[in-house]
Amino acid sequence: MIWEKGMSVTVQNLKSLMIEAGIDVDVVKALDPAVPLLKQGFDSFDLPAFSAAVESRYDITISDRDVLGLRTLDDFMTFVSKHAVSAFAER
Amino acid sequence: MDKAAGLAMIRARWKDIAPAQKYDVDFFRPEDAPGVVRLITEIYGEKYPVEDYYIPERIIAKNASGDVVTMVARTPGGDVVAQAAIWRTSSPNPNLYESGQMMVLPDYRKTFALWHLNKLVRRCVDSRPEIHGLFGEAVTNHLTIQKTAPIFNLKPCALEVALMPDGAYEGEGAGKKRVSCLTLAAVYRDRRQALHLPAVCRDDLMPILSLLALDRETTFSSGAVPSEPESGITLQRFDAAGVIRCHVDGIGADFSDCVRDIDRDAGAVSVVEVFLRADTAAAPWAVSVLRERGFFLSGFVPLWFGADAILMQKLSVAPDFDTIKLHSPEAQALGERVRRDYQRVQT
Repeated sequence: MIWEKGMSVTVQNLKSLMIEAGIDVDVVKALDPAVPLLKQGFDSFDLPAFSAAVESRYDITISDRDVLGLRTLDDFMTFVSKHAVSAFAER
Repeated sequence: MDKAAGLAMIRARWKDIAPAQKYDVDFFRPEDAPGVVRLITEIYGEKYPVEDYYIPERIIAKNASGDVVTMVARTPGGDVVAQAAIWRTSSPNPNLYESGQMMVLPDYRKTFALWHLNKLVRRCVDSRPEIHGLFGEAVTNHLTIQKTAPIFNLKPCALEVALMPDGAYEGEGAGKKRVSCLTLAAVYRDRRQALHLPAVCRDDLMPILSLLALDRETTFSSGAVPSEPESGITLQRFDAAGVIRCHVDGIGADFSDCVRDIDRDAGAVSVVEVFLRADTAAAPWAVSVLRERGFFLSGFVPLWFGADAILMQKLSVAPDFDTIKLHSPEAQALGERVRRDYQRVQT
């Protein structure tokens, strides 16, 4: 399904995006959304790749400050839901 | 100072870097140079293919000249725990930079260091008007580098088949199993220009042009023998890699003879690459000359000369297309097209 602004974002949406971004499928399948990604097999290249995919897919910008709060998949889901929808509301 | 002296100096000063330190991401300062050498040495040992990066004063000089822009993650004590860089490379266009050299100390690979560095690279590119485009050459024996392409909006534009010897960082091995590179490019500051492309390659080039979304006056034709008598060709030999790279900046009526001579002189060289300037009306004819001599279409590299380039290759080794790993659907489609053209030219 194609995401459109105003729609909710699910863990499954973000996991699919991870796979599109090139993150190992087995790592993605085993992810616990509440546990930091860097403790679950994400490497130093995976996080930039996933973050870039999130920015591109949801048309948002993740700042240096934002990323400090993005440890888990749940963090990403909350961030995307909040920022993508507020970006939509501002237009 | 040479590489051996640089290595000796770094090893004499070697100290362990404590894990889990705070770091700042910043542009390179001269005092970072030994830390950059230390980082490269810890990751690659003595096998990094560019000698300059073992010699602190050369790193300082390259950053001072703008030929390299190094960005580092630096601890409060001045240790360099990660780096990324953009640099002017073998392209004749000083406004086209290559992106890469992303290195992180093992103890810092579970941090956001590379994320912050990539953001700084992106800000650097956005803020420097002299940087018109970026390209990268990602090895295809793994997907790690290809995964970072979206950060810089890099699009797959060529597959340089069998470009590097296996274990390329050992600086030898031409003729052994070789590794192909996916060329990725992004144009940030463009101007409209003419593009003369061979009709025979239309179906292979159109998807690349579509991805790059350039402003071009594009003509597909079979071209004609140029009126200019002499070609302008610069040739680079990379003996350790078994590669000859030719930059064809001007296409003259003698081009067939030039290609014959290049072919003859190549001898046992594994790979010959020809970058053809694509804003000249003779480019499609030059492609036909190359195809008659066994060159196949590797892709298209925007801004290579300032003008764009058609990239052709000829191999004296048998490529192993089945081992090439390509991540994105666009890269996979490009790989298939290059493979088909290689097979077409062989028959």
